[in-house]
Amino acid sequence: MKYTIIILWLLIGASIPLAAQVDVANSEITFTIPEITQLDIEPDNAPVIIRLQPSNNNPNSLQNLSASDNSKWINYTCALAPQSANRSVYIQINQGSIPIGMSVTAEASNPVGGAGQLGIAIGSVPLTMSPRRLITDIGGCYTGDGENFGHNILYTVRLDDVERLGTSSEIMLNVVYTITE
Amino acid sequence: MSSNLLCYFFLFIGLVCASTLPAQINIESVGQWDAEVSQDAVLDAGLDFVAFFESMPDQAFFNIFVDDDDNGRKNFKFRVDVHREDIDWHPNLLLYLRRTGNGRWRGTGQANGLLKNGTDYQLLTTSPTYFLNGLKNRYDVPIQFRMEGASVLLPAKTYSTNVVYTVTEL
Repeated sequence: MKYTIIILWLLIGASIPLAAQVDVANSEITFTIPEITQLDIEPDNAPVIIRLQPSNNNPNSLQNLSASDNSKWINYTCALAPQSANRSVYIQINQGSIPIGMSVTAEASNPVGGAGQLGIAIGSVPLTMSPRRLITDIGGCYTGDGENFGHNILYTVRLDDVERLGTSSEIMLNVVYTITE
Repeated sequence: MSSNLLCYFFLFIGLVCASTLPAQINIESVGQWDAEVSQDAVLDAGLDFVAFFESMPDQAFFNIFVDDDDNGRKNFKFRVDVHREDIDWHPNLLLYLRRTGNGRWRGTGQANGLLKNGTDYQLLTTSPTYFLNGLKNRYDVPIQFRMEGASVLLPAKTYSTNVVYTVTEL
């Protein structure tokens, strides 16, 4: 019995030097992605000029005359927390007014390019002094940057009632886009 | 009488073996990396985040030493393996690390140790992989981290993991 204990102790003692010595340490890493929403207009913020001109077929008639421009694009980037509501893009007039007898609308196209949960275009929206939703259901996404990425914006100016238009020959509107919940 | 002699013999052999036990090797880590993506990480609306994020070159440090390092003269070789132990992580997040210096030794006289490898960014996975090896004690070895794969497509929140350094005496 005495021999057995000693031999066991000897074997254990002899085996320890053969076992690798190991130690462990660690560094904690945290990486935070905050909620981010950014929006801009491409290719630039230069004014959109829309001219209403009578058609050649009926040069004297201004009734139901309309003209459009689709030179602008909306790009956006959106990072959302898991519990956050999706975002929407609103448009509103913040300077100027539309004369009676005339209407101005904006319509976003379906998104082009980018990745993630891009927004859904609402359709044609009349411009007013109150915010009107233009694009909805934007999740975590990016549209791509520049012309031909994101949503193409179609502005349309229409003379609905030329009799009520008065003498206005030129109007200027300033519109603001907002991306929010 | 002869049986007692045999006992003393085994006892002696056992003590000799026990005396050859290597000193305990130690690794200590100092520092952490708490990174937060800024709005500037989106260079223009419509773009995703920039391709990568980097910590300071000396964001963290580690020390490797043995208990009885004889004023830095004790010879011992070691290797360091690294891996991630995730707390709340996303598989798209690719975390790298590298050492940006050789650290230093503490002691007097000519007892400089050295480190080999570990100066190129290495992807951390959840399995331990070889990082570097070295000789003698090393203190204040600077570590830099790099993150790739971050995107606005990932849920906006805080992700966390532990970088685990395992030192093995060779």
